[in-house]
Amino acid sequence: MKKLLIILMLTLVSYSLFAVPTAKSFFFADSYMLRAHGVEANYWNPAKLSGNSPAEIWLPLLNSGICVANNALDLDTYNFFVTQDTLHTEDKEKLLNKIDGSLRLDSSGNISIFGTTMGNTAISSSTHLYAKGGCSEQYLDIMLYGNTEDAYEFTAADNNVSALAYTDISVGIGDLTLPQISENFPVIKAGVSASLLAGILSVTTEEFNGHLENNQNESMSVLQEIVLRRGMGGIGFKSMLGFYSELTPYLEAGLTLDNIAGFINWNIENRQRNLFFAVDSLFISNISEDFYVYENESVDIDGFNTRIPPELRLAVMYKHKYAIVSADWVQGFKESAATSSIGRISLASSFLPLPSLPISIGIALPNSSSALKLSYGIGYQSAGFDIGLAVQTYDSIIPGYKSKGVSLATSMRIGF
Amino acid sequence: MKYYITLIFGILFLLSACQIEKPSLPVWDVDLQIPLINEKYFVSDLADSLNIAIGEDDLLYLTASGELDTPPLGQITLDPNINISNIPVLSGLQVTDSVDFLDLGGIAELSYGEVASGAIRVMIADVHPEAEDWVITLTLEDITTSSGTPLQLSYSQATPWQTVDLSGYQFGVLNSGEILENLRVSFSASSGLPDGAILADLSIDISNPIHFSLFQGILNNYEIPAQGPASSIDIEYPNNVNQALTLHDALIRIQVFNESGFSCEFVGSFKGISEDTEVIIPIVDLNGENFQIAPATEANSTTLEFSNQITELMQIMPETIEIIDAKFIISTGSGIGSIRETDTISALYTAYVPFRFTLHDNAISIKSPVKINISAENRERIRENVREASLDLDFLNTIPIGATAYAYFDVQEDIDPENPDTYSFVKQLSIGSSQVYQEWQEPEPLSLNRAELDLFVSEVVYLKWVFHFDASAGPVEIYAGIDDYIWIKGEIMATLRVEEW
Repeated sequence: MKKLLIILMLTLVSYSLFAVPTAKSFFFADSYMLRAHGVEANYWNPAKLSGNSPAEIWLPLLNSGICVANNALDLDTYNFFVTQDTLHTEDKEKLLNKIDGSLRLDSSGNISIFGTTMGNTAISSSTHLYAKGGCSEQYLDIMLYGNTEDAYEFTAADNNVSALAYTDISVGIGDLTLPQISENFPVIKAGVSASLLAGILSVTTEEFNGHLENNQNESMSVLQEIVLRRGMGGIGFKSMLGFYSELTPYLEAGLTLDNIAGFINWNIENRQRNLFFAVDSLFISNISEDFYVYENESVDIDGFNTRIPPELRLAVMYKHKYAIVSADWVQGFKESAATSSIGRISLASSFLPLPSLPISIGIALPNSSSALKLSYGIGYQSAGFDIGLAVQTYDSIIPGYKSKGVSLATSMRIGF
Repeated sequence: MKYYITLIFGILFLLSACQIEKPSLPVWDVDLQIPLINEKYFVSDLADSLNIAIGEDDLLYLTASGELDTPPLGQITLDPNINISNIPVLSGLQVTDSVDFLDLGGIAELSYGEVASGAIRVMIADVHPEAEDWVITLTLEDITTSSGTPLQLSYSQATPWQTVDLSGYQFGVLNSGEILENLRVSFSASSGLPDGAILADLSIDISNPIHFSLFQGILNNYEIPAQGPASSIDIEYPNNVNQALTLHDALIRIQVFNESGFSCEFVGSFKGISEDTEVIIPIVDLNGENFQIAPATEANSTTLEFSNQITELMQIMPETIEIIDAKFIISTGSGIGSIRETDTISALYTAYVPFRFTLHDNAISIKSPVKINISAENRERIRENVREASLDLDFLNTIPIGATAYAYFDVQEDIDPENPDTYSFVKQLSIGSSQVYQEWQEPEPLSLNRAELDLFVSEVVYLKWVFHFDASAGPVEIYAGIDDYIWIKGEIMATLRVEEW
């Protein structure tokens, strides 16, 4: 039983990812669209690829980040439960009170492979891992209390896993000036990037239907249907269109539309796993060896496409003497492993207390599916070189026992 | 500047100071509810092909059937003891006479008979010395061949006792309705002697018994013994059940198949044997007379209903019943009848004990405790994971019987409900009679606490059942129709400890 729980938790963690375009965005809680430049502009706003910027290269692995988070349990809670010998009723209540409908675990990763800029163009490659998973509060309720209710229903809304991993090779061009509408209208720069995607893994929950009914009059019935689709090896494409404008010498605004025509076609090894478990009209008095039906089959399936839904991002950035502050709003058009259909606002500020010591702080405001996220970053920079380290915490001001998740990221860029 | 650096390093310190404990799941208890049963137990399901039956009125009956029969009735023997010696045979004349044909034993009076074995002896002696070419002819008109030709014997020389086999011959006239009291004998002679001269002396002897394979006539006090195996009642009665209920209206029905053409009298007794009691009751009618069985000519069988003292017999809850000292008696009152040697008389009897009884509040117990073997795997689970368990049962009882069941548990087989030292614990459950409860009954769940569950970590546990009926004011009847059942719904509720399994 305990092993089962551990496997479940690990499975959920490993299958739970969030969208992270580049590691550097961890420093700013993803309020990074107008801050990105150089190679990173390929992923955030290709309009920011400027021929006036020095050339830049990415070295493998040095721009990487990973995050693991959930919507309910902080470290304190985790420590509490793994150090308890016995869970009592009040402990169970404490646990379930922290879960609002479902326990969702999310994680993501981003690993740079290479990247370079040449004038207002860039070419780069990185690997992206996204995954999400959820488990209904009712499952946890059953796990902790047993089947105390007459009926339970489980749907894919609360119980699902999805994962997407791919490597991109992106080419972008920016710093394209759009024709001015009028003299007084600010100059708008545009850019576009296109990414060839090499699909590594896709996992989606195609169906999830669970039902448990235990009625003295109606006997016990259990139904669990899960259809998981997995694709390994694919090829795809996505593109991004970006705009930005310096409204004033201190204020910039930008807009991007990412994942345009985004898809990955999985056509190398595709399988579908069908799990079916059913118990009908069970009574102990009439139980027999074949009281249940269990089917677990894995079948080859034809190739399929994973659509990567478009995502709209709006951002403003204000450059102050002592700080650069920014605000981003991102809205996916559809829920997927890489996008969220629930909009989110993030704010960030960066400082230079010393010319070579940039620090940053960011905050992504919570929404109905994501916890509050705060970022702290620090680095070192000199002419043509910067390096940094960032940490994020979820649903807490500082990383600690109240965090419901944590992210770590490193960045290093070399300019010449 | 110092502020920022302090802040940054403070954050890093806090982050690095966080201790993440090694994953180790605690143990906890969950309550599982699993349906146990939702079943109607119809009274009609009690019926089997042996001892419990449903009557035409849907009343449930305890039944026990048995049989007895006679051997083939065999040949009727008649001992006429006829011996006529030295009858002078006159030449040229025919003499007709008759001799008495009576059974020396006084048992049988023959009207018609087919001889299975028997003989007549004839002797011709003292032949006149001057007689030449003489012939003496002896005719027995009442003894005929199968074609009806009288037995005729001819002699032409002196003959010592000569035996004539009568097998296959018939005596009398079939279905004449008259008793053959005399045998007609006629004899004539021809010779060279003058008519009237004594030719020789004739002697006739039928002194050995004659056996008839078919006998028509009258039998006087002819006894035919019968016997049959004891009939077992394959019911394991609980201890003391005869004290817990009083039977009413039991009867035994006997169907007699009489192949003979005689009516007869049935004599015998029923004997019932229980574990410690034996009851014998004579099989007589309400007037104390033996039952009369009709001859085969009138009906295929005779059915006797016998209720005298049967309730008393069945009240001892017999394990076997049988008819003892059984015989059939054919007497003169039966009149002229017939018997073939292959005829038999047999009887089938069935005891009917209606489930109509008065209940008393006396404890009855199942004799043998139930032995519960618990596998090592289940013992381990009970020891490690089961904290509490309870059984929640609801009842809808449409039967006019209420009872309280007591379940005594122990690891020793010798459970004595009267001695608390012989059992670990007892659980009780009451079901009210339909006369008291017409709706669902929801008794308190049967709960087992941790200490009681510890009993089930033993390899073997014994369960002894004891029941107390709710006393009834009068007789109650148990019917087995579609509306007669006990409907039980229930579930098991268990508190299980979740840990490494």
